Amino acid sequence: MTARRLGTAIVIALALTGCNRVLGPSKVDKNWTVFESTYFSLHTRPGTFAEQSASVLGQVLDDQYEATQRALNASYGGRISGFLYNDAADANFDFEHSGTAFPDTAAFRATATPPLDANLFALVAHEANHVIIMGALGRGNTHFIDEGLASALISERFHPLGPHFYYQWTKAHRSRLIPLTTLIDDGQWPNVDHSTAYSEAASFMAYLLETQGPAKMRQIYYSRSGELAQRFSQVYGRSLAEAESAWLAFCDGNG
Amino acid sequence: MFALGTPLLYTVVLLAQAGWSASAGRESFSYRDIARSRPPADASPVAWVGSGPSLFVVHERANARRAHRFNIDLASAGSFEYAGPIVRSDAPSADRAFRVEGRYEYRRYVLRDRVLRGLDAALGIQGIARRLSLTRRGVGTARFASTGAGVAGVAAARLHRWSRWSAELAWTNGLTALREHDTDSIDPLADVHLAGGSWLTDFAISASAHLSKRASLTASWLRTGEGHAVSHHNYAFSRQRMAIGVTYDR
Repeated sequence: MTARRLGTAIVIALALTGCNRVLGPSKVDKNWTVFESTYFSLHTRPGTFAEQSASVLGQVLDDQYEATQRALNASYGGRISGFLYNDAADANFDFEHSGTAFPDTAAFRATATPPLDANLFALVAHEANHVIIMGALGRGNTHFIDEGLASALISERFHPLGPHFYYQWTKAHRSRLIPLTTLIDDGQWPNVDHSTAYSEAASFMAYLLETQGPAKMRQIYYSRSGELAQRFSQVYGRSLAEAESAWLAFCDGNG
Repeated sequence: MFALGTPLLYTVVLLAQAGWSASAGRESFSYRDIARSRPPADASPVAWVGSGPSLFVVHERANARRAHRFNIDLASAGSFEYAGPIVRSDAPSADRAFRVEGRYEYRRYVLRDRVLRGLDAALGIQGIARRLSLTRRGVGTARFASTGAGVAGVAAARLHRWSRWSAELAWTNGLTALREHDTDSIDPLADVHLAGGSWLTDFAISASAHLSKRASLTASWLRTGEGHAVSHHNYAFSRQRMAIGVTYDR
């Protein structure tokens, strides 16, 4: 559909139904059972794989909740609501193995499809981390740091898909890495390969936390896209390009 | 998502000026953050819901064919809670929302007495200026205030067939440009200014009963759906208001 046709369709739709009907959020159904862990209210569809797995996922997430606060040296006291859908169609996502987080209302949504393995643990931990991080630090202002940090902080207690996995991934995918100057640009973030961008951001943020600690990271956390490179130089005392080279060498040695 | 319980109606301030009305009531405020804005919006299954008093004042200059209407609207909400489909929990008691809005509307009655005697249909356009501020208590205190200006289109109908009472409904859709200022006491670096846009849909019904030749008692109900798209901060909110007021016509 051309842009003009799409625009016309949107205008007609708005005229006939109103902005809220077209652009507003849909209602939430009530077909859920709730499993209460220490820090999470996990909502699952009755009689599903997710319901059977809620206890284990609750353990993984409770560990993540504490691990993230330790790693950031920050505190968060909120209780988080997780909504675990049967599949992408149930969640109205475009892809399987997807999730979204809603830090302002302390909630996340994710698909929970078998098997009960590291991929599923890492998915729910990543989405929960968005809520914990923004609850503890406030709102971030770049996709690169928001998405990178949510994976960089994944606990390796129950599965291996944490920082060391991302270091190995970086070492193994050197030829397809995207320059960091591209990734920190919010204008370019939607156009890059998301699989690469998410893993690369996670690897770099994990490296920063491991080698420089959370205090410096917090000083760049709030930067907006256009000012991040300069802010990075001020805080870390070296340019982003120099840090990129050091990070790649670090991954070669630790991956 | 709307969360109005049993509304409490407040009585009213009478403004002794020609063409003025003042109303007060209770308004609910329901907020959901949005992860993906393109339709259908991917909004949180949990809403941040509160309620509080609302006051609005309207000045109208009208004849049979057209009307100029000026509206100032204030509302404050507290007693917030997080309302999911199954589980509800109290939000911190310091959580607050405050809203102030001014609108000017030019309306033309394009169809008069066509379908039904006393039934008029109108089209109008509004200019809108508004400010919304939210205070949310977490580890620190996060505040954000959005200030916007925009335009809206109005489709309305009024029924004034009988001498003792009249009724009106109005459906408004509009867009505004926004500036948002976010702060968080966790860290001074969290102080940022952002830009974006918003949309709104209002649906309002009101009815007036004449108390005397010039004064009438008005009851109104408003339901809105609104959305803000700001860099790294997209959200939808809705309001629902019941109010009662007095109108004094010259």
